[in-house]
Amino acid sequence: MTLSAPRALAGLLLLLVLLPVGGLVAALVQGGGGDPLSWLAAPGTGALLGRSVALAVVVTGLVLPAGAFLAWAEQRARRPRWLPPAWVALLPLAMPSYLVASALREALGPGGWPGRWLGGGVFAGFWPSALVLAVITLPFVQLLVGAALARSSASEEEAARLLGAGPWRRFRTVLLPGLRPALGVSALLSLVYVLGDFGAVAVLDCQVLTWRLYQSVQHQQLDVATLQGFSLLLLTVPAVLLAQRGQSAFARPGVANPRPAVRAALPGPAVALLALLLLLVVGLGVLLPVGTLVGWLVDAARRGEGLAPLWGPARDSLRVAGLGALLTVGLAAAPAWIAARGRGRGPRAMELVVFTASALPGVLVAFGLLLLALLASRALGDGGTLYQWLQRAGLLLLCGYALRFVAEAFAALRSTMGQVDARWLEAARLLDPSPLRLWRQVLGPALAPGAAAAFVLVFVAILKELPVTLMLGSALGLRTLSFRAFDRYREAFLADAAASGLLLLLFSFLALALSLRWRRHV
Amino acid sequence: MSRPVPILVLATILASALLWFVLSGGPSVDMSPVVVYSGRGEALVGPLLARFEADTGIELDIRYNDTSTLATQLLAEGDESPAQVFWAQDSGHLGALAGQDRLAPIPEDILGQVDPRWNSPDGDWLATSGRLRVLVHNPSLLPAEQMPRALEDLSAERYASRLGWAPGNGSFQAHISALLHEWGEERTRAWLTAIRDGGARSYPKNSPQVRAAANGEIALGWVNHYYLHKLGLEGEGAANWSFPAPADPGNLLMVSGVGVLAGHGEDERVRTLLEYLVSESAQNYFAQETFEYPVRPGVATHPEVQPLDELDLPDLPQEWLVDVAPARELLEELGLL
Repeated sequence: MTLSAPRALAGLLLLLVLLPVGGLVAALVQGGGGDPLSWLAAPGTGALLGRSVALAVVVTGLVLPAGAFLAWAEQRARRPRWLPPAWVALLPLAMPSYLVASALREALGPGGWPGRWLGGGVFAGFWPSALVLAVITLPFVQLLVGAALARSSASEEEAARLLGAGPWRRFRTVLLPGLRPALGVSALLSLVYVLGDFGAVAVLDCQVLTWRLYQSVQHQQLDVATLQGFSLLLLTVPAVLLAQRGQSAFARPGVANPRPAVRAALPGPAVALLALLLLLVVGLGVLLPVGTLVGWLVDAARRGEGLAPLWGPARDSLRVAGLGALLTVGLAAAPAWIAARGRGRGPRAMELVVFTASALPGVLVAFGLLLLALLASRALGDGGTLYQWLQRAGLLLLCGYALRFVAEAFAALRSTMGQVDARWLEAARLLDPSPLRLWRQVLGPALAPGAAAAFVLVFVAILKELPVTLMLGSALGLRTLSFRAFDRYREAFLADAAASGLLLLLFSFLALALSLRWRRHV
Repeated sequence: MSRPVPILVLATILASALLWFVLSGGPSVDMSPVVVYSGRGEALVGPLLARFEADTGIELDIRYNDTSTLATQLLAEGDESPAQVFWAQDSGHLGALAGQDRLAPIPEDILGQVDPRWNSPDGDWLATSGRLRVLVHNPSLLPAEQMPRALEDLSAERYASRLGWAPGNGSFQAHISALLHEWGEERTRAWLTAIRDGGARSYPKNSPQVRAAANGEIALGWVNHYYLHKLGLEGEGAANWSFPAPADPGNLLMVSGVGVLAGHGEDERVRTLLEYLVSESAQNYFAQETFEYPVRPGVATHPEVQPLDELDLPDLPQEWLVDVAPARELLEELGLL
């Protein structure tokens, strides 16, 4: 078997994914004198693991039906004029989880006016964390299922209708099978995001595995943190296997030139549900947090405080997010193609590695890469020259981003690639086009929605990212907007933190808006 | 079948972008700024360090992160670390590095410029500024005459049920470490357990507690003194409170400090930086701009901040604040971490 370019690129990606894991394993083997395994037997470990799994399952259970409904409403339904378009529910994607959690804890607690009005207690713990994480991960489902819906043709549904199939049967036998891959990967993304999230659970005081893992990192127990990180990875494996089983039984390509569906009018209960979901998601995920940030700015203006200039952080953010997203999507393309088109164990194993590895929290990704670079430097005996060069050249940072967010890019690309009809592709090849023409006229347009979704997902994720940027970007002198928001917030310079947060949101919103516009035009 | 052209195009674009990034962000060979790992925020110390660069012409490469994450990174990096100076928010992390022989001794003449109460007892690190552990309270919910007289009173149900605290915070853990030395394990454990069972609310850090006290979410919080001033909330629904009991262990001064990484003790530029940080001008900066307590004798505190000489501070050695591992173990055992 010859090594084709996609296979070589897929191999490169797998190598990348395994780099930090290698660094962490090496550090674990070398040992720090302690006994990290005692953590496994420690009291409370079982409860931590259980709470992590429960949180991930609850959030995914909430976002899967809600996100799919919003995607359907966005793509297939005629909404009443008074309702905002369903794509506004994608906006929380632009919000960092710690920011949403901080704002909601303040607003919905006894101190905020919505909290006083609701008359509840402190907004913290398991269920508030589940709610915040659901609002933030719901756009994954809506975006990916929406892209799948946009690529699926209405003609099959119409044929089924003409043959006398009712709405439920049409949904079950025609629409749902086409959406399975997108539903499966978006459920996985949500699971992996919740398992690896630290921001929301830290702010809302929900004691899960990542919460404990960060404590270990902060207290110089990298070996224990590594074990905790690997436990997170192990928790992801059954979820990936389950999602793969579901997909293989039902997956089926869509068509390349879909006929747009006729938008259906929404019945009353569906309008009410849509309105409620939009209110909940946009209210909690965007309006309250943005309102809190604006409140901080107004407070500062009243006290006559000035703001630090934001040009530098804005430039740094756009630079790393753009380049990081380009690299990540580029690296995910070949494996996604193989996973979507290939058969057998290889593609499935690759998918397993990609999703599992992305459950590794950012701080461990960063430490894993640093430790590996240190090992290389020590092996060369160069006194740290290679280690420092790798940091200052930005290579570790880009690797960190690619690894941290490859699952997002992979998921978005894979579900679109899975819908390209092989027969139709063969028909195009029979015309013997040049590879460039095949790409420009056939593959490019077919893959564009998925590629745009992948780029935007990763771009926005990097804009918000903190631990990898802090650890691997500081040697480059990077001061991104997320760094600025973190730095100012922790030192209680709230106006500066708010200004950075709002600009970060503006960039993310613009990226989302562009991708939505593009999606409508392809 | 593979499609070589699109993949080649993609690879070329990626390679060029990567090259541009590497070349534009990569190191310049003839520059070697002093590398500072700073656990103190850019918002706090950035302007001062920029002034240092302008005044001395010495260039700095400052890498900001949490103090604790930087300490973990420094220990992992060992001799390969590029860091020459570590500026920690809490002296505990400097103690952890000194315990692993990672710090070079600070020159005596520089140590001598600082009040000896606040420096490392072994001369491993240099104090740069301090912040006082206090209660922040909402006077309309809990007026001053009802506030606790001593730290130990917090375990009473009437306080514990309305208290906020941040067990994950470095200052909190250092304070518990001091209590373990002062009160012993049994008394500290009983006190923490009573507060936990009384219903104290956990916060991720200090500043949200100050805001929570100001907006009435909690009646009192256990924090450091300067957040009230930074947030401009003094007289806006919140006030600081120090314990009136004589030499109460609640009135503890926590210091931030700098350590010099082993192998860099002889670097003149590093020495210049240390001298600068304890100079009258820098100490005035801490007092007036960041509302902290200066550690150099004779430098006045900010007018809004209660001067230290008005307080009866306990005489607790700084080394009690250094090894926070037993405190963390206790907090973990009690389910607070």
